[in-house]
Amino acid sequence: MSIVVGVAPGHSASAPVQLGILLARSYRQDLVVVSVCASTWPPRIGRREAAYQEALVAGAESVLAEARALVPGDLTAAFEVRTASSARRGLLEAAGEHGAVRLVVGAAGDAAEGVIAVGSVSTGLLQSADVPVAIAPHGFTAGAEDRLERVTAAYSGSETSAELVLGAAAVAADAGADFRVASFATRPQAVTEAAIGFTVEDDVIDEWAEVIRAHTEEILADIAEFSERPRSVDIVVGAGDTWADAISAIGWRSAEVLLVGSSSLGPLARISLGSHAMKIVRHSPVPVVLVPRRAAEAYAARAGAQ
Amino acid sequence: MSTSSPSVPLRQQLFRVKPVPKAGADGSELKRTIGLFQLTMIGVGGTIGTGIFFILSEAVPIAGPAVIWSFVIAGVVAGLSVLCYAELAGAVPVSGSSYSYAYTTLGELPAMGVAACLLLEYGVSTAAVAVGWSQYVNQLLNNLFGVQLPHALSYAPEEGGIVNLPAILLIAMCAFILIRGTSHSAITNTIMVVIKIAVLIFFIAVGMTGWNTDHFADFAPFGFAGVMTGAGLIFFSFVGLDAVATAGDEAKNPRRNLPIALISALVIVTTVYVLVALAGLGAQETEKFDGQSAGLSAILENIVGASWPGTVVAAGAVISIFSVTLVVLYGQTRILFAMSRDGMMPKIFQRVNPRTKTPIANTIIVAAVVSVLAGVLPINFLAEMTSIGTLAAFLVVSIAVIVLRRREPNLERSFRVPLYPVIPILSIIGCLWIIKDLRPITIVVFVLWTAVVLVWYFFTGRKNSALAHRPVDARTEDTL
Repeated sequence: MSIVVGVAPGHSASAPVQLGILLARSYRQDLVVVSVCASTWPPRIGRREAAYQEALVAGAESVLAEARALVPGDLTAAFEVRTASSARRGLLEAAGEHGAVRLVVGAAGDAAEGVIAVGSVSTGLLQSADVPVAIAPHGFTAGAEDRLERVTAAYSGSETSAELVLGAAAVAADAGADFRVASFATRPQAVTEAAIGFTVEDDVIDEWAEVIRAHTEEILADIAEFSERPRSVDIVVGAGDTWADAISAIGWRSAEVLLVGSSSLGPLARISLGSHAMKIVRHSPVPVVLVPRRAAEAYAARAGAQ
Repeated sequence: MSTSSPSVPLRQQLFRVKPVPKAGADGSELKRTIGLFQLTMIGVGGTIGTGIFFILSEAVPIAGPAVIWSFVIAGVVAGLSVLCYAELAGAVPVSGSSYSYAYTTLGELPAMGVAACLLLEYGVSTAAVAVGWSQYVNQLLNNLFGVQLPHALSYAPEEGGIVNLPAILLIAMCAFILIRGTSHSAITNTIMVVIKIAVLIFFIAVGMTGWNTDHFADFAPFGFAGVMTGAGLIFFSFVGLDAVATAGDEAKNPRRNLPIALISALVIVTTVYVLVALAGLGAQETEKFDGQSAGLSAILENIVGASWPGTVVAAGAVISIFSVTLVVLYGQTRILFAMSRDGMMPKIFQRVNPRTKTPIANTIIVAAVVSVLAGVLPINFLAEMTSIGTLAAFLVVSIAVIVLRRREPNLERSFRVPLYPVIPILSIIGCLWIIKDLRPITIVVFVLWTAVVLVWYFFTGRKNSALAHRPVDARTEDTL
């Protein structure tokens, strides 16, 4: 059982490795840092291919060296360079071999500091991984001794979402962390020309928050049945004029992760930018753990086992 | 804080007012962000294009070419009323509709009366607008593809059809958009206003080319009564002007900007309407208006002898009426939502779906009822019902201004009606005058409807009122 961290040759390993360390320490797992060299297609002929591969491997070695320097001595960690047809495939193979409970990657290269952009690798992983994928925002740092303080699970009001929340609570209990269920809403602007005032949508959102609270109370009642419970449980509803406001409204700790189900992050996620999950991921100030559909069942079963 | 008697006196129940939340108590101090231009645009956007696209064909046969005066009279009365509306909106530090203003100033019973009017103003006008849309959709289909829906499927029973299918489809589409959650932004509104005005200016420009003074020979065939009845019908096309008043609480410098925006919007809208009427009347004999569907398109086609100008107008009408329907349907659902939270309507109207964050059941119920109205009632009846609902709501608001000035003379008002008490009194007289010239059936249906709503209130709302359940004391059930 391990936490597998993917680092890309030629990119900084700092953010994903530090997140990997945080998770490995919290869940008492070993750390495996993998750098995948993607072979070219079509294969180049003879020496040129060999030279290219050598350059790739050198890049991978140097990024692993950077990672090695970050990992504290008391964690068991392995470092490997893999060759695979694609980064996604290489990471999935590594996850399979090392019995990964989490895959950790960095945010896509074009994201700004502190922002999470889901790139092609993460999207690919989401569609094919059967373990949760954690994405570290650019510039993410954690102290070498830090443990997860809190797990926040995003709840969207759907049945699958409720199961995920239970799974997340079980995981938070494992790490001895606090746990909270969070729902987010942006306050829509009331339609001015309808002559009904400006605050009517605020009332709708207040009503929605009550519904969500009632739902999550039920989920919390289920969590109370667990043999091993999180350190504390809480319900929060974040509302604001923008997604960024709504998400920052609930307050965040430095060693915290946000868990988002991927029911709405499926194959269409890249074109349906309207999906709330994507917005939540993009504006999250803390690392996000995306639970792919294939992992969700196993995840929910965790809760069942409790 | 306890009452000795187990029941509250009836009079106290009927006139209990909703307490006003202390402004800024929950940090919700309104930001005044709307400037004069935007405020004017809201007025123009909310008003223009609701009725003008199809009201001419209904009003000209009643008033003759003197319909021009009907427009002016309706516009003046609407303006006077909306000034009163603005004072009320500025006196109540809550944002809302005239229902919420009445509830916080006059009390529960008058608020229910206003609510009855608003259900007509919104629900019935959605139906009316949808029927007008259906005429233009048919025209557009005909011009573009040479097909038309059969008469039976695009007219109400009274007009020789079975059901008005396009109108029902339009309402279903709008309901679907509202359920998904709409963000009808200021930009959308501006685009829609531009389309509406452009189409109407296009109509005026092309229509004027077919000018014939002879059409005005018999200027007022039905005299002043005809002009007033026409004004009653047309009043419907000024629905939406009250949006300026409700936007007042976000307006910068409301004392100055509100009346200016209101009067500017009114002048723009009335001018456009009168010019449209002039162009239409100059281009076509009065007799031809009767029973004409998609009037503006038909008039242009007759002048030019080609279908393209009619197609342009029909396309513009289809787009802009769609947006109007969406806005009005939205308004209706949110008024019911607010009433439900006050305990005046069943709880189902305030149920919000956790995923879409919209009141789905509420939207579906409203859409279903409005669809039935649109499917089976003729447009002139719907227009008159909308007019009387709006007029009655304005009437209550004008009375409320006078009541509030006497009862709460020192209340902080961000806007005060100029020339008090002349304007509220003129507004009351104007509304009553237009109402008296509406068809008797309209007045009877309106009175019955209001009675139904008030009876409903008396037997359910009064007991379920959120105010009745405020935990001032552990009161037992009211027994009357």
